[in-house]
Amino acid sequence: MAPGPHADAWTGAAVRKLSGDFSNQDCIDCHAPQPIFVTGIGNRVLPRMARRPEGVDCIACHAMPDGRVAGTYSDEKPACRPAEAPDLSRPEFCSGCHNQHLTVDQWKDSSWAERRITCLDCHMPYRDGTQSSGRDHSMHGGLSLDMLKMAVELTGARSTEADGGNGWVVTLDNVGAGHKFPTDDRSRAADLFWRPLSEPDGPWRHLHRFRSPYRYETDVPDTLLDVDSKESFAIVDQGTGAPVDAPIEVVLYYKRSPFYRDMSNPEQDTWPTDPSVDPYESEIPRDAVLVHRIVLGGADDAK
Amino acid sequence: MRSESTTRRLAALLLALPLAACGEEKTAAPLPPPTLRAVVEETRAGIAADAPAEPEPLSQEALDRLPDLLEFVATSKGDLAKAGRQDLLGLGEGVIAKLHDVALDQAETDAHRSAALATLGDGPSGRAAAALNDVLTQGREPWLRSTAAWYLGEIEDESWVPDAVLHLKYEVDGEVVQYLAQAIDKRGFVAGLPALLVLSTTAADEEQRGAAYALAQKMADERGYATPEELDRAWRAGEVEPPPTTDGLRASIWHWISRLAEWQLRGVDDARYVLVCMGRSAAPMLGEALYDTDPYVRLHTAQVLERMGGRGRPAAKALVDHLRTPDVAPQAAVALGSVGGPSAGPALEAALAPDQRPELRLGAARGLALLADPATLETLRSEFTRERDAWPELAQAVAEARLACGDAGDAVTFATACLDRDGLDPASSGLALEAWVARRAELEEPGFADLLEAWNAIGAKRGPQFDESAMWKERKELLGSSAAVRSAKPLGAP
Repeated sequence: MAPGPHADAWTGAAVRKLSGDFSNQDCIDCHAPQPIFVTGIGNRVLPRMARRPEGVDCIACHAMPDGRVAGTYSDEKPACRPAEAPDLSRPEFCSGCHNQHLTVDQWKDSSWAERRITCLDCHMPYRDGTQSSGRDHSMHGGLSLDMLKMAVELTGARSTEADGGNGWVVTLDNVGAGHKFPTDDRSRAADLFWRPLSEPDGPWRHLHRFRSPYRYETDVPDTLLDVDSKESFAIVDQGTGAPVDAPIEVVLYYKRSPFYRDMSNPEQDTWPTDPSVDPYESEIPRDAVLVHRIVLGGADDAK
Repeated sequence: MRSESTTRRLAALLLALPLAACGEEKTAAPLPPPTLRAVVEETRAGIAADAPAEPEPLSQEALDRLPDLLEFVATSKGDLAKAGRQDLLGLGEGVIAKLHDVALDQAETDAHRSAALATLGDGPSGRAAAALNDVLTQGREPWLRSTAAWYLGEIEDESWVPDAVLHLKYEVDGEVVQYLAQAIDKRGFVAGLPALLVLSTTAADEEQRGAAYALAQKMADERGYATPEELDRAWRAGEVEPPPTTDGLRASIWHWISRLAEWQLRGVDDARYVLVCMGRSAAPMLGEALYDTDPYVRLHTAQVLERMGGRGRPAAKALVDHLRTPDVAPQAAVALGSVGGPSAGPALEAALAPDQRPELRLGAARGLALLADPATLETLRSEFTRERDAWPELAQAVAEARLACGDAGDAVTFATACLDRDGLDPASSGLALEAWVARRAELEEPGFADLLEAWNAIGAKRGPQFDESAMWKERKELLGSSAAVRSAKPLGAP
């Protein structure tokens, strides 16, 4: 089983490539942090000097300044004898790293915060649903296809007469992420593509991109899908601008680094199914995953 | 007469006494950590007291005259245009904001937008420079940003330089980069040179590559260096005298130092970049900032000095001081090795001693690797022997420091083993070994040119079925089987 993103924070192939083997030292603060209880809850993390290959290790979250080990409840049985530290479960605990791109603030402004559904409820669920078995520490998020599928719902329907046509309208609804989609990193992107069902091998048409731009991309708007929100997009012929009412297929891809070699062929940049193929071989990594696919108007019409 | 080695050991001992945190055998009480105070806040408060008041908004009469004057500037040339620009600026300081808005307004004609930028270029105050810098941030069209950079260079005041340097980090248009580097050079700063050198080799357009190199060559000629590469090396080593630091530049540098305290890392990243590029002009102030009460300012200041290398030497004394400040000491040690100077070696040898805190020892070893001073080899060999089995992570850092000093033997063997050892970072040993092999190849030692070629060929193999760990394993085997490595002696050995 591949290590989770915290364990992989220093050694993972993606971060090694994107940081130039950490020659970009700006990445070190969050990828090898000092213990959060030492720098302070809600404070920004600071980089540590030792054990960097361990990434965001046990100590980063559980070591307390007085030498004790923090846990969500006290327990004398394990060798580390965790002491209850309620701060460990607060979203502010994660914010030193994960609010660098405002993810925790997005959550605070959401219905999820009102309902007290916190970071841990989704990203560290109880292993068997009960507190006694502890929480899953694999830290699932954008690297988990299951989590991605649950985060957003892709639907399509005929536009209404009030909309002035009979073409397709595609909607992406942020139903399951307690923050914007995608979030936490400008290198993440989610893209909607469509193509006529009559062209099963034809080029994809890019419909919309959900992404926060890098700073140098001054002409790229921030298009993250807000929490508790949905956005709809009319399918139109890119040549004539006319509504498309013929059967189509629509896909949502999520990409860990934001660029595609060819926007009409996102499939070639999907994660290789052959484990011996290095997804980072090419300058633009093959790190896209297909999250949703729907067919509108065809035999297997999803809606 | 004492030998150099004895002198160094005495110096190390003297430094070790205050550095010692504990230990029953110590007779002298360690010096306390240096006193901290709100350096950045106090310094900036003094600067803010001198800052000019916010300008009054333009009167209605001035607003009514502005379009005609702008049209006049846009349609005139030479002295007439200059007179028009002076008339525009005479409307009041509030005109700066209006000209900024015109420049960014895509509904305006290009001629009006250019006229607005040209007028800002004649602006007497830092506000005009701030407006032009903002156009460089927000302007969508490359021609607009190039023009803004050009007129920025016309403003005879150094205070805008750090803000302009930041654009070198984000600008994606090669022509704008050239104008920026040229503008920064006009004020006597070399900070744009690295970007020009990158452009001269990576720009898609051959003409742009040539133009970038020609501009870099001009910068070298003006400073008495034969090539841009020589100027670049000297600048990075801190050998190029910066222009005098004006009050405006000082205020700007303190502004950027204050940003090291920001919560969002984006601002911190920008500040680190700008301050590193400002080099020797910023180093004395960074030395002061190390005494700030804010741990984020202290740590990030030390990081800036590490990245600055020899340009940060004016802050070396402060770094030695902060080897006694627990939270910043490990990073200060790395930075001290990078900036160098006569006190660096003895101070770092003392910080590497076994009675120091573990993180400081690790920082000291990494600092000694950056210092690469063969005079520290005796200490390094001794600590390597002590730690090779007890603390592999420290032994790895010490072995890499020995390689940097030209040592060979068990340092090479150990660093080679680190290429494939759980819990250790293969990349740092890989870089150290690569530099060691390259240096020997450069010295034309038998077998090393071929070894370097084979090493690089393995690196180029990345692809299917050859991930990073496979690369390190193959390089490990290469070094292990190399007769040249086995026969290598410390540099300078008979």
